Amino acid sequence: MTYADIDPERLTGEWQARILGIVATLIDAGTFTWADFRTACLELRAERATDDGASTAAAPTADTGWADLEDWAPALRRLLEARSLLPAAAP
Amino acid sequence: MTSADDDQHGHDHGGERGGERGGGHGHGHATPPDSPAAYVERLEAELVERGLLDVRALDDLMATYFAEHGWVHGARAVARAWTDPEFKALLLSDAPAAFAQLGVTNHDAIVVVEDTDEVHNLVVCTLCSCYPFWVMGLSPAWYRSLEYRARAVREPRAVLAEFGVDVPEGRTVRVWDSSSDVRYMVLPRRPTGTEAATEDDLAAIVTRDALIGTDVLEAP
Repeated sequence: MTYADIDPERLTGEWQARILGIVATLIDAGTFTWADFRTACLELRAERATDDGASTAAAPTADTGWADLEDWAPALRRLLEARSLLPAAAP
Repeated sequence: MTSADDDQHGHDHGGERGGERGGGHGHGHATPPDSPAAYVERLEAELVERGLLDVRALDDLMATYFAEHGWVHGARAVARAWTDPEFKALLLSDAPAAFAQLGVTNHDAIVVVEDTDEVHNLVVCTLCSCYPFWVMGLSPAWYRSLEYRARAVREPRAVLAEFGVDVPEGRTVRVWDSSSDVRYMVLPRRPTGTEAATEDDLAAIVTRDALIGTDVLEAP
């Protein structure tokens, strides 16, 4: 992935740009792949849907579930925790 | 005519989400501790502290991004409008179509408003920080501040004066309230003394603040 792959249409402010930049930098550095990150986003969304009591039918699809920027930072933490690169956050 | 006379309130800001689970708008000012902005800040700091994130690489990436996607598109459109009357007419009547001619497309609605001898335009987002990112880059921190958002409508001349822009009493200040439905960009007046300048030269003198309305351009 390069920064050229990032869709500027989804950026509406500084934190959105920053988290996109962080993820892109880590992917460029080989810390994980775009597919890894996408999977982490999907898992997070699916978990939240279950926690909220929502129907599993409402779980994100592979095409859309990873695209919510608000999930990117927690999904990134989750991915790095799973790889023991970050300690588990305090509950 | 006052700024309040022309203020465009009542837009739906629903597309500008900020809270991790709703709420907030991702403003850079007084960042709420549970906001996504604060979360990103904390995470970035932790990644740097643990040596996982190379800040220089991140900054290089962001700089590259802004060189490609900053206000350069807005500046190019302004320079083209100054030199091509047909493009200017299209920019003012159908800005997305004009930007498409420059190879810049986006799904957000955008309206370009023209500064004239009679009118000075100023853009604000009173509810959050709606901003045509795709043609103007990242919004400045002051644009998202509560103070600017409130005062730009209430006392635009005073705000402009603080930016060094003195608008004569006989010239109307028109304030445009950006929203998730429609975002605004200013077409500033072409500086005198630039008659021989090329389009590229002209684009180089356009500033981000001029596209918001808080700067008046001068020939280099």
